[in-house]
Amino acid sequence: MSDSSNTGPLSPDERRAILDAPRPRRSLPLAARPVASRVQLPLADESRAVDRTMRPIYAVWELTLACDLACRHCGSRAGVARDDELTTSEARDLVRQMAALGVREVALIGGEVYLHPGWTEVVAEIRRCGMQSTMVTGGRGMTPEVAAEARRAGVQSIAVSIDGLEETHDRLRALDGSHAAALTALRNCRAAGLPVALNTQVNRLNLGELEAVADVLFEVGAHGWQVQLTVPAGRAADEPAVILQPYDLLELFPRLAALKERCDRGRIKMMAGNNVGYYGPYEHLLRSYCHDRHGDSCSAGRSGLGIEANGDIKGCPSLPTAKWVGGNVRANTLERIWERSQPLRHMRDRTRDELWGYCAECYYGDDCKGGCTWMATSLFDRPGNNPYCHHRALEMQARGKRERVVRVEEAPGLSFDCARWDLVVEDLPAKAEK
Amino acid sequence: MSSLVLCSTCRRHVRLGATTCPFCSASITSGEPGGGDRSLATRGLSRARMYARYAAIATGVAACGGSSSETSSTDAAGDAATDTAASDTGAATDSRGDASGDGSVADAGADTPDTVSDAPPDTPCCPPYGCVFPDTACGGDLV
Repeated sequence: MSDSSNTGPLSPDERRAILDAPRPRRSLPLAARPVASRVQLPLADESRAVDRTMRPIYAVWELTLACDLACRHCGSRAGVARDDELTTSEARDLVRQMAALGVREVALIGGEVYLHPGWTEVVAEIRRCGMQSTMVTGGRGMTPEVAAEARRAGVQSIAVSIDGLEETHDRLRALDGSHAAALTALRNCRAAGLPVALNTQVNRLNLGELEAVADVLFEVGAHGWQVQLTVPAGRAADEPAVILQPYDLLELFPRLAALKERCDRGRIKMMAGNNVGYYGPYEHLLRSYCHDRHGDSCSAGRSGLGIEANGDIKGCPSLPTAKWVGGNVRANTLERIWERSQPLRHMRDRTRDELWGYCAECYYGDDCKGGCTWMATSLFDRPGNNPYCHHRALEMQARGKRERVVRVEEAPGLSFDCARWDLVVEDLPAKAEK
Repeated sequence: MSSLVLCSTCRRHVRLGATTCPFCSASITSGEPGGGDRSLATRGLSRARMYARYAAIATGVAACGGSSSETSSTDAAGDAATDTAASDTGAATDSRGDASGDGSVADAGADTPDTVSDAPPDTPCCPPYGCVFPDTACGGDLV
């Protein structure tokens, strides 16, 4: 078992204060009722060669925003279903459109997938259309019966979110017992014959517990582990003390590298999420599964497809709705939205000219292009400058500097909304903060 | 399309065509191991085809007596086929590097192109967002 006494970048007192802090938004409902958006932007008259060449490979689909948890770091502020979510019939039609467009794998997320009344029908349609089917769950309601349903429908892997040891997980998930429920969900899925994986968001509360989360991988016989940074969007934007600081990556990346090696030895596929960036000395290891052993910038709208529960189409499911939805499948076909909407085209067209701040001068700018668009836009309301980068943190460290983000304006409280942050460059402290 | 190769000394990615690594000052010679060579082997292949290919490679390695779970990183160094298979299958043979935080990662693995892409070259790395898929290359009976 791993040593769980490491408190990561926080001192024990700092950590305790954050663990005990009440929710910032205490009025009900915790989940604001989502606005029925159905974005209808004008589409280009014609598609271009690049729009027809680049096809979505991997779709991540928020099947419903309804959730049986109200996690304090949830980007979509899930809890209440959208008023205008796709019916099962509409969802199945969208599945067929995805298959026709070339999607090969559909990951269903929520909210909670199993709270959609037709979720098993959607899964079955995904499989009938020849695509791979996975889903992500918080696990609270993943009973043996639900797990068996998932298996019968054709789900090929279920990822359960585990965000640390019990106290940390329950605090982040805002429910005592949610960690135990997640572990039970893993066992229920295994008992139903489903391959299981773990998803973990990394933040200041759990950075010191990643090794303990890895223990769970081995205990439950998981085949995979997807690790990403908690992005200051949605409810996570309400809790700036939880969010990693850019300089925390100096501590995080050696740990991730060691964990990757441990997972490799155990034949567990550990994948660094798209916002775990970039091009540092561990890139080739953390992204050994990539063609060139490195990330190649944001894949939203290039190979990635994101779908909100009401049929709004984005390049990535986490991008802020207002600026990044290209259209709605009730008004246009998926193919037309993919090929002709400006938000979906954005990542196909962008050049280094979009970069600003440190990223504009970065050695890796041509390839990285600022990394995760969700992270950059969540911080600064525009892509192209992303301080959550190991290479960048190392370069700063070499100059005796570090970067720190400071929230200067709260998020309004809507799904996928963002606060506003300033980026402070400061001297490295003489001694490590603890 | 990648414009980067891996410096065999410090394992940082450097620009294709660079003669000196900007991070460790080691000379970058043509034919250096790393991402650039590797990309020729896999660039543009679909994820499914990559999986199928790596599974085939892994099967071949196993048939030759290699056990990925038993192979040490040292053993794997320099074995192009094993390295290629392992790094994408989650097996142990590509393990390298340290956790010291000093940025130095030792490795001497060399990748040799073993096939030529027959697909459009700009297919990005498949995004790990959501659930990791239990591809066959991940290792045997998962249930």
